Amino acid sequence: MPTLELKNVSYTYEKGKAVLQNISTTLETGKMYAILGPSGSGKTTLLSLLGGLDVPTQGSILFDGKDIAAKSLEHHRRNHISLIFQSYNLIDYMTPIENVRLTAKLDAEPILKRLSLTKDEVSRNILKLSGGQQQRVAIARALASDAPVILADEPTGNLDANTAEEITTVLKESAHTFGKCVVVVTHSNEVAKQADVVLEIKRGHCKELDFVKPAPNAG
Amino acid sequence: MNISKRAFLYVTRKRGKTILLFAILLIIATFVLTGLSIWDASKTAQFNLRQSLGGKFNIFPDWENSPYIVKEDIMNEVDEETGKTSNSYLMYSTVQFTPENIAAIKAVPGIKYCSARLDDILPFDGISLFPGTLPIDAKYQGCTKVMGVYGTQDDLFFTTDTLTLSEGRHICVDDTRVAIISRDLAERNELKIGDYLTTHYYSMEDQGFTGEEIKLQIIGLFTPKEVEQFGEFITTYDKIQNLVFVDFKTGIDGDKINYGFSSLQVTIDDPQDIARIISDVKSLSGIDWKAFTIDADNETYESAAAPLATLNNLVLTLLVVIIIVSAIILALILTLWTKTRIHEIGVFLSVGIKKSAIIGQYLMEVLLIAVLAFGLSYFTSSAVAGQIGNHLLQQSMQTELEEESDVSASGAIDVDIGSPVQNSLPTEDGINVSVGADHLAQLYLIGLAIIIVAVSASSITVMRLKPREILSKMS
Repeated sequence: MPTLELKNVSYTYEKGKAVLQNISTTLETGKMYAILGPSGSGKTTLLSLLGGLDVPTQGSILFDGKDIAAKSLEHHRRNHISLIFQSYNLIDYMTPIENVRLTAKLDAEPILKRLSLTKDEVSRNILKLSGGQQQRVAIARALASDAPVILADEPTGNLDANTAEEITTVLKESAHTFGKCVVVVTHSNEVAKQADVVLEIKRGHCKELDFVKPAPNAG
Repeated sequence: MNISKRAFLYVTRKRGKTILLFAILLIIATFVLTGLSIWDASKTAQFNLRQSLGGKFNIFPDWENSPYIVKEDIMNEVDEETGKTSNSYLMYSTVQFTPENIAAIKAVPGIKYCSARLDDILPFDGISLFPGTLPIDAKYQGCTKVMGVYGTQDDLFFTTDTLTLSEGRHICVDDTRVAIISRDLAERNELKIGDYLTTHYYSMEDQGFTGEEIKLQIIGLFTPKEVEQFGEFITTYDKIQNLVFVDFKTGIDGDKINYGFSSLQVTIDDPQDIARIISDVKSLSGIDWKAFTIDADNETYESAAAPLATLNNLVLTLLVVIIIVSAIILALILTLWTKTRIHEIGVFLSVGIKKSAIIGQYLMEVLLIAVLAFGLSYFTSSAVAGQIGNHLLQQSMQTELEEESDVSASGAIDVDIGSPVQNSLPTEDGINVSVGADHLAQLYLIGLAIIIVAVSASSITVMRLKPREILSKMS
């Protein structure tokens, strides 16, 4: 069952620079997708369009067959999408469990426990957690929101190799165990290797890679 | 997580900002609450002053322009010593106020009393009067002043407490052949309520008090506030203890000229309404205003009320300035703080929280702090409001005095006999400023308005940003 479908999506900046051109693809639940591409290729722009943070200049994005802008982009963000960022983007005056409860539709505690956060850690000051722990909280927030799609923008960018691997595993589990459609924008081939599908964006076009190999400009 | 919970978490976890905002709101609230209470106290003082001073205007015949003025020669007398002849004449208006006219005037809203009198001099059989100190014409010896009134309850002597009814009842317009005399005169002549006084009207034919005999029943006794001092120059018939009040009918029966009252003294509740009341009186039907003129005396009120009016304007101006400045300061501070919360806004938007809900949270945060700050301002305002209020009043009075320095003596309050201005004016004792629950309620309303304006102004940045722009700023 397709979850997100891009139909001839193009995006052009106000200054006239076309960053995405005529992209059509389908993203399904239960799979983890990795989007690779050089810096400035439009990966994050594509993620923004999928997340309803921006609108394509041409084409449309469908969620379960319906245009995401039909009701409202806010509705799409609130009900269909969960975003995970490189800098975790947690609210600093809330504890981990409060961050997860911000938009939680599911019980936060079991999810945090499953992501290996202790009872003491979930009620600690968020800034006193390690980067890996903070990213786990961010993933827990995404899972607790019960959104079918998780969009992650460089989720391992600030983490060491071991922690990055752990987080990638968690994201993969989110797709396979929790049945989410996980879309990860990354420069990392290690992360891409874990994905079920790897998409590459180059010169505004998107193509699916048959196998994972080091991206030429990946940092 | 709802707006309130998020706001509560922010306020309790970001203590530094909370304390700073609390202090700012407390200062704003103290200023506003102090201003409100002083403004209210000033309004109350103005109201009390108006009630205390009252207002009055006199209606009397227009001697110069009225077409109804009659001038009659009544007597040519030859002075025995000089042998010169002097002419006496009587001048009066043929248009007078009837009791019906007075009833209509009294019914005008804002009119408190309508004093109407007919003066005459009559002798009373067997009555021993208090002797005066000035010699009088032989034919008037044994006479005293008789006042035919519309009603003693409305008479200036009684309404100004110059005289007090100490026993019995007042004379009203429907009474016939009744009198009120002084308690002193009653005691001097062993008279009491229910007893009768006997007199005779003046006879023009006999040139003496040999006219119709009248018996007047005493229905009340009055006590004067002050009696004439020993050594004061006064005639017997002018002595206040000898004064006799009689009913309107008795007053006009022996009078060949008057069928009503030539002049009226009208007392009103609120001197501020004097122009409106005079206009209402002049528009009454059944009164020929070509015969009368009105003299309004509002100077006492105006001179006494001027410092309070100045204070009122000053406080109102200060209040408006405080409210505007407070809203601007608060908006600036919140705008600065909002800019530091871009990251948070981005997170909220990315998880699907609406912009309106984000602004609602900011509003709730300020309101949570404001509720406490405004509550505490009750005590801080109570501590300073009285002192500030009276200091401002002193300043206002000083300003008024400086402005009126040229007027000096003429600006002083002139207290006539019968004038109600006997006690110190409210402005002399300062104003009583107290912070009440109603002021607190007003503060909460004004504070809410200030906060809504400030939060709205500070949130313009948030409203204008697109989610993607915010996320770009974040990264």
